[in-house]
Amino acid sequence: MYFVEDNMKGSEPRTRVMRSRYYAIPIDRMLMLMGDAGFQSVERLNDVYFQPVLVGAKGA
Amino acid sequence: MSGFYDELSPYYHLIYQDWEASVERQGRQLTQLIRERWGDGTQSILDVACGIGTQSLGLSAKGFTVTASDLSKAAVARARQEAEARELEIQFSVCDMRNIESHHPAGFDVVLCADNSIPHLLTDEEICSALRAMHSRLRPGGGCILTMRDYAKEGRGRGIVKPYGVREVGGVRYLSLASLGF
Repeated sequence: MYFVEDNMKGSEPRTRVMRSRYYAIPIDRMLMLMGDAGFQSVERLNDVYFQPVLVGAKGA
Repeated sequence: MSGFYDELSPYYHLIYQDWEASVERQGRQLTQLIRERWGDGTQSILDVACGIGTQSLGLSAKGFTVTASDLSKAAVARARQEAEARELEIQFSVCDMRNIESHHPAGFDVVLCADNSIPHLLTDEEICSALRAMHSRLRPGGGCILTMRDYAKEGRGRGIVKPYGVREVGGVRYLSLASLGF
């Protein structure tokens, strides 16, 4: 992530840089891991949130 | 990883076009999902990667009893301030999502891990460990909600730039962007 901060008063802008890593895991694989972890009725939901939503339940 | 979010927490809201509106909208969307799937009796939520509180704040405002943790001390400190400013009662603490089993009590109605947090764990084994810990904190019949990017739809390559736009806050203009590589 890069954030450039400009106080709009003519001074030099400040830039902050932050680095991170992600595992680009496919959603189908995440659903499988949810099942492996014990969740039941795992399911992908689209168009209910700004990202795909994965749901599962603990057995009653 | 906590260092990344410690540094990011003062700026995190700038990623959003309008963070306040996103808090409200995400709270409303998650509330609808929870009510539809697990009923009106659902009350307690454990947010295991709360960050600066984007989802916890919105859900607390909707009436849920929210317990929230994150591995970043700075993010939790900001989330706590944001809750106080809104007069919301949320139990915040610092905890890595892989360690919630020894940190939080069991019996929650819903466990939440939102906004692409779980892919910070870099192996299937780490993810499965965190998922098992989430499962352990639920009451029987309780629900788990994960939200994440669909990496199958993301571009591949190096030097991919994702602009988040320009915001002006308190007389300061911020340009934020991400540089991604797969």
